[in-house]
Amino acid sequence: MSEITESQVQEAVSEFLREQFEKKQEPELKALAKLDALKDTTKIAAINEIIAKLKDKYSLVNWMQDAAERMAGQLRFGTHISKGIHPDSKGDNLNFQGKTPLPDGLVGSQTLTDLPVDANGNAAALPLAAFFETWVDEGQGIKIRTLIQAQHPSIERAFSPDEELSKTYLLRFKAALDNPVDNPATHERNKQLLWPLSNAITGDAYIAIVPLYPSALTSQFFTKINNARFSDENKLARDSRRKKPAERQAYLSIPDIAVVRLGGTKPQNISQLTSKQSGRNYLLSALPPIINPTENYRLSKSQKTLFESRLVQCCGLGLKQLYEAVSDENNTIEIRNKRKDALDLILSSIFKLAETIRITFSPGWSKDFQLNLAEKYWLDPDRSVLEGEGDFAEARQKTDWQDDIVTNFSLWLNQRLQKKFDDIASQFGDAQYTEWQREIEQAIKASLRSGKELFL
Amino acid sequence: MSHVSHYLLLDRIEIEGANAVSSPLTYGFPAVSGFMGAVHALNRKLVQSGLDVELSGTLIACHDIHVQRYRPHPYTDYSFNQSRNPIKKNGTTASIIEEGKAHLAVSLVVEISASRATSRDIDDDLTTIEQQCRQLVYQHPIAGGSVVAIEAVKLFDNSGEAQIKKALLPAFVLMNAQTDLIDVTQQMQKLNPEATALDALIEVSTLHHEPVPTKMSPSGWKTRSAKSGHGWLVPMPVGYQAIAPQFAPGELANSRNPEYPGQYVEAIYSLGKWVFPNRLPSDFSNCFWHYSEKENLYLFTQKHESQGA
Repeated sequence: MSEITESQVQEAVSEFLREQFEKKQEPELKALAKLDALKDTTKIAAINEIIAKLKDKYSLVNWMQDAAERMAGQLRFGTHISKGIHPDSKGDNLNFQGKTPLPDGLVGSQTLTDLPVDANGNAAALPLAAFFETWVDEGQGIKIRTLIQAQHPSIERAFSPDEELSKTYLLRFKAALDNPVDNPATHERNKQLLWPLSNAITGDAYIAIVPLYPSALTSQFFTKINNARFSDENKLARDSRRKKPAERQAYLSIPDIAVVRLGGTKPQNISQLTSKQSGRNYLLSALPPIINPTENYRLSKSQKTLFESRLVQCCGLGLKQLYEAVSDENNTIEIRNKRKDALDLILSSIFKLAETIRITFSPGWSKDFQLNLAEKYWLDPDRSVLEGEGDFAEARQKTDWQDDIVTNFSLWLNQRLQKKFDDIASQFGDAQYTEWQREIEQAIKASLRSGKELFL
Repeated sequence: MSHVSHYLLLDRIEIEGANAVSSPLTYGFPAVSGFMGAVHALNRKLVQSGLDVELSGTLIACHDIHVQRYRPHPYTDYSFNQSRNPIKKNGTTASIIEEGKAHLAVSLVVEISASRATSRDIDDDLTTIEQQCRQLVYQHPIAGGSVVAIEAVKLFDNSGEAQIKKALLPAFVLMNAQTDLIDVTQQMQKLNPEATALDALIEVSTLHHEPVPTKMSPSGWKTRSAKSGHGWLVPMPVGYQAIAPQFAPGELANSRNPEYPGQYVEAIYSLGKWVFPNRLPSDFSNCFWHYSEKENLYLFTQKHESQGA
């Protein structure tokens, strides 16, 4: 940063003012182009006057005075904003430029090396926020804001020909950016929660914590995700999916993203950064593996066992993962873990199905069904307590029907695998094949045994 | 009182309208704080009723969850189903502030620490205390949603771990996976030294679609994910960090609890893992979430302080 020179800064400042001026005069120039130079002299004069006024407004002296005296007071800067929590909140914004790193494996605002500064307040003052974000040296990551906050010598004379005035402005800008919280005030619309300390109940020890919305972080997060998903490179590669094998390229997707919109149709009321992304914010999914087996499964009266081809519908996700893991020829820990994860999913789906059948059907339902006895014992346990079901209860107690379930289950799963890998089964080494087959049986046995509750 | 004498199993609590947006970066399951808060409230009510116990840790298991979300097309992002709220005091319609809701079924297991005498009292009065807990749980929202049903409330002594694991099937248990985030981050840094833990959070949610020979996959495509082999990893908030110095009691205007010190914080994130009960760590005590505060961090951790957070 020490190599930044005064002329570099001056150039950035005048470039910013020129851009602003050009943007503002554009509609006037367009209007001017439509007019006839001879007939519309009064109109032309009026427009020229407007342009002259604009030019005046965007001169260094006038704009900086307005910026320092009006805009700086009308904007509230911060990396963390209250309005992101609730649009009606009038609580503090906070500028957090945390330098202390977090422990490994934790993510917070300081995980990013450079946080942008967000602003909200009077929308007419937002150009000041844009000014602060103007690059002086993009390669080094230096913005006008960076120099102001560091009170860098190169920027001291940048705001006015009058050296004293320039320094006064600098201090005002710095104060606005730092946004020190001298009279801290939160708001009823902010979230506030009590964090219990170790002797909370006995010693009445709590701390009231007030989470603010990390718009500097979320805006970077939004950009990162957008760049990954919608970069030209990724879009092209995605389109290659339908092309010939030789032309295919790897691409990525981020499934299950949800979008929330802050500020509804008026994201500019929330903040500058929110407004830039039209209020949209991405959320990543943290859903547990939830499969709803019963949604597409109906037990029919004539079926003899639960373990038939239709059961595949209930364990789609788990089976898909298992097929993937099995088709992988490597035999690393990672693949073995993947196989176990897949088995967990399949087992959980089947347990859930069993649970649902037991809950939704009334005890004794299995009398009208053709299911084999072991599965009747498994899925209709409360039939035992019904009147006249003494034989059923006794047989259920006496037989080792759980073993039958384990066997049927393993057979069913093996059939699925054989069917799936019919053509490439020979590619698996025999030892490896036996290994995962044993693994599957063990997993099923362990789960069924430890899930004894389901057999009660 | 730091000795765990009993476990309280709150089996299959059905919750309606819980908060599904757990942080500014994540959704899909309520934040751990929502469950910890409810258990803390239960703790206070038990103590008020004269039972001197400390509910020292909470295990969270999810049976089922329906997030109220919608997407018109599999290639678009989800948005949350919104509700129109009651009109304001002056009769104008309230603006819609987007929220995400979920209906879910969870089981919670709570570690109960008590003195020897209290622990004997509990043993003598198991059913009464179970009844009492059942009633208290209905009285308090969990994760912002209302409790509409509980299948069973059951006390176990501290040797009941095997039975509890059985009772949790077939739910998935939420575990801290901070070390997996460190692993994924390091893997990414091998290719790109600039990669951060935030990139790793996104990477875990990302699928890589790669072309493969058709003899390996009939479609000619294979899907790879950084989390494969690590279990069911998800990004989630794990607590807060202070982003400004603490205020003395009364200093922060409009605080709802001016009697306590106040502090501005932001949510911080890590990874969680959904684990099938028979694959939980053999040391059952590692499955319980605890409040822990250290310097600037307010964290939910699964290891006791002595083991290092």
